[in-house]
Amino acid sequence: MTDDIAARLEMLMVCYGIGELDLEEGDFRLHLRHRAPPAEGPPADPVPAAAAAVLRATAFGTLRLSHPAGAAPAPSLPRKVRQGEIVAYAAIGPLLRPIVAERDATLVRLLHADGAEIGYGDQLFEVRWS
Amino acid sequence: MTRPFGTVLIANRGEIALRILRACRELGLKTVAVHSEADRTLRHVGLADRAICIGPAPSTASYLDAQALLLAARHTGADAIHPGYGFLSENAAFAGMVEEAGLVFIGPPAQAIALMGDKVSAKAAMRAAGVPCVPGSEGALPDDPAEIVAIAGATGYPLIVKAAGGGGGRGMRVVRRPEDLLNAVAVTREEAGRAFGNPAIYVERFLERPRHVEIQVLADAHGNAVYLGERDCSSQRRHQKVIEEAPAPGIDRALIDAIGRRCADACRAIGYRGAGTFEFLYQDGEFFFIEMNTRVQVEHPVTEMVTGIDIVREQLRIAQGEPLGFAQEDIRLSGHAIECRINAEDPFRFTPSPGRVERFVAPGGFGIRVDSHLYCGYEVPPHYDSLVAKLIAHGATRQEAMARMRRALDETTIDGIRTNLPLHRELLDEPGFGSGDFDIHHLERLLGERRSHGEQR
Repeated sequence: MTDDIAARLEMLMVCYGIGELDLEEGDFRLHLRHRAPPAEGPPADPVPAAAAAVLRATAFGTLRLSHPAGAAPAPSLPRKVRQGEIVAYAAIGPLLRPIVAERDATLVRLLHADGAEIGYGDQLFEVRWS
Repeated sequence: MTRPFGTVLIANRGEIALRILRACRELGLKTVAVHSEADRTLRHVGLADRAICIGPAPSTASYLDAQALLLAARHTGADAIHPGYGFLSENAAFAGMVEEAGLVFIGPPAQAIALMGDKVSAKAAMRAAGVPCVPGSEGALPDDPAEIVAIAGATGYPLIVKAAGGGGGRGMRVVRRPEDLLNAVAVTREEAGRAFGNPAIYVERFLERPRHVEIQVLADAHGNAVYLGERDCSSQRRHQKVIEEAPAPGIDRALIDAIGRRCADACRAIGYRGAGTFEFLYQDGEFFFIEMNTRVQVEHPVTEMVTGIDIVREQLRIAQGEPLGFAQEDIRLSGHAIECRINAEDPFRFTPSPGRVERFVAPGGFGIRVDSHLYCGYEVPPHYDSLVAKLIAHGATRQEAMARMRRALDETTIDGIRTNLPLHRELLDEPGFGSGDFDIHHLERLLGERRSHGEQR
């Protein structure tokens, strides 16, 4: 891994709005992370606390409930999440697009299985907004 | 890049997405429908082998999001992308991205799109290929009045002075007499600088009553190119085509053949591949190139009806590297075809009319084709183009095609939304349209007269 390649990877991350990048080659492992927060999906419509209690996908791909590089299994439900917390990922090949809680909430029920295909706007979790 | 592929991602919506899906099915190709949140209920989404929602309703976050389209192709295993028309279909950068991603772009090479997408380079390429263009100054006018007068004299009168940075009918002035030239140049230059921040202006011959006639071409990756006759699209409102037909009424076939062959030659000269359309203004027996559309056109069915050639199927075959299955001499025009664009809009005020289609009964019978994604209960979203159906009538003669179209328009029922069906019914009975000899301003004039009669009443 040369500085040139690292610089190119960083440029590509900026260019394509990628927040974090993991690269593994044999024993070598590179983790790049931007200081700026990763690009988020379009802003969600303001949801009144008593209204539609679902958290929707802001990206499409294969649903991953935990980061594939981590050993920890997906946390069990119900669980509390804070606004901006990553609750799942939409994976396409090596690209993971985070799906975040748009506000503080309790995730009550999962509506798709880990590994299922999800489309933009699909309902992912039944929630109780805090 | 051309190569065999098995799965086509349809990067479009509405009737053209369904049209592409049907052509893919007939060739044994699998399809992926990508759609916005507003388009979950589209007909082709339900019919595709795979469908995925890629973004919210606004096109910029869905159908115009190149990254999302490429990711969707990667995710679904699609190895080719058909862009349809509109959206990213004539975006050279997108075509290049598709190829760089190792996918097949079902359209011309990115360089050809870029060449023809720039009006200056397109005209230069066409002149070099022997395709006639509107005479005028090649580039911006100089400052020297004597030079301007000389350029105008060579262009011929009447001419139009245009702002290089203008558009949409702004920043232009018609000059009919040489003595009015320099004043018009000075005023337009001053306006151009003020309105567009660019004082550059140029002149072109002004055509008083042009028709819009276009040539359909197909070119493969093996150096073969043909033209599939012409279409007359002079029935326009605000540069939007309303009715199209093939062949163009009353134009000498020898003239069409000459311009058509030049277009095919131009395709070979610029390394063009796929389907394309050369648009011309036609007046007094002369053609003047306006622009080339490097994609399938909305009005392609009228050409299909008179030639018997499935243009979308040919696009798919060409993109797979197959040679054209016919030569110029094999192409024969049979009869006459007319297409009416049915839009979800008020027929005379032209305000959009989205909403739920409570009832849809399509016309049928001999010589009638309907390309539409409508069905009972379908909700026309407010976010996109208002085109909801294309009625196409074919007959042995223009009169027969018109008679069939009148019948088809009368048979068509679309309840729940307003459509321009009443306008089409009026136009089919209008003497100017019936004569076939009308220019691109004809419909606007008719609508203007209709408005003034209404005001008088």
